Amino acid sequence: MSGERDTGLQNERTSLAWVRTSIAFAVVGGLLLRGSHLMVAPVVGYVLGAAVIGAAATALYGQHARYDVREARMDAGDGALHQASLRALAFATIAACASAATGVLLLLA
Amino acid sequence: MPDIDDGGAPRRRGLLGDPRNLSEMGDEPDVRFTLANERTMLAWLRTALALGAAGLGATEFLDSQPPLARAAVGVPLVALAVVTAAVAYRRWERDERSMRLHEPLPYDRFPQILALSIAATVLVGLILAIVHL
Repeated sequence: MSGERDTGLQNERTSLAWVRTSIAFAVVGGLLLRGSHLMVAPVVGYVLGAAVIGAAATALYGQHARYDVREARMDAGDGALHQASLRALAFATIAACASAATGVLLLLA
Repeated sequence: MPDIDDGGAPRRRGLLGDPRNLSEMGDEPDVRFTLANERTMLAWLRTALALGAAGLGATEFLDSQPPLARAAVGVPLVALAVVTAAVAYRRWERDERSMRLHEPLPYDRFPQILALSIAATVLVGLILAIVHL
């Protein structure tokens, strides 16, 4: 399989999907920071917003680092499964959505 | 297919479902299918984040509306966001396992339920905006 790979731009498309996802994280983090001063406990909004933006930066860096690894694995004809990073991203997304829910409650309180 | 290792029964089910290591299960699928499944999950995660951003934005910026109206739109949206994020991983894991075990991809009603829930929330918001309590 090596040398005549037929995977097109799979790696690029997947990396771009990660980039879009980290942008979505940054939007949620930005909205949390933007609304902090309206919340009953502004410091919670600042901390959650900063954490979500940190997750955006981590996902962005992670996809950048994984691009070359995936490229090498695909060149070698290996599979592209990376369960750990997807689990981590799913956990981070649940946490970001829970942060958005916390922000909504703090804005309404 | 008796030669395929399906990893046995699930050990436990947590927030993200079956914690078993998929790489030891069944056969490695075509790399394109693995990555397509990954991108599908990422699209669902973005949907969850968009719902979270919409709920947060509605609560934050619709300050011409009373708190009850903002809550009626914002709270369901962020609740849907959390559910969608959790469902996204479980669907990815389920589909990945199906591909590795050469089984058909299962069908579920989550997309319909989510679409109807969003439609209901939008309708509530529209009615509240017209009535302007």
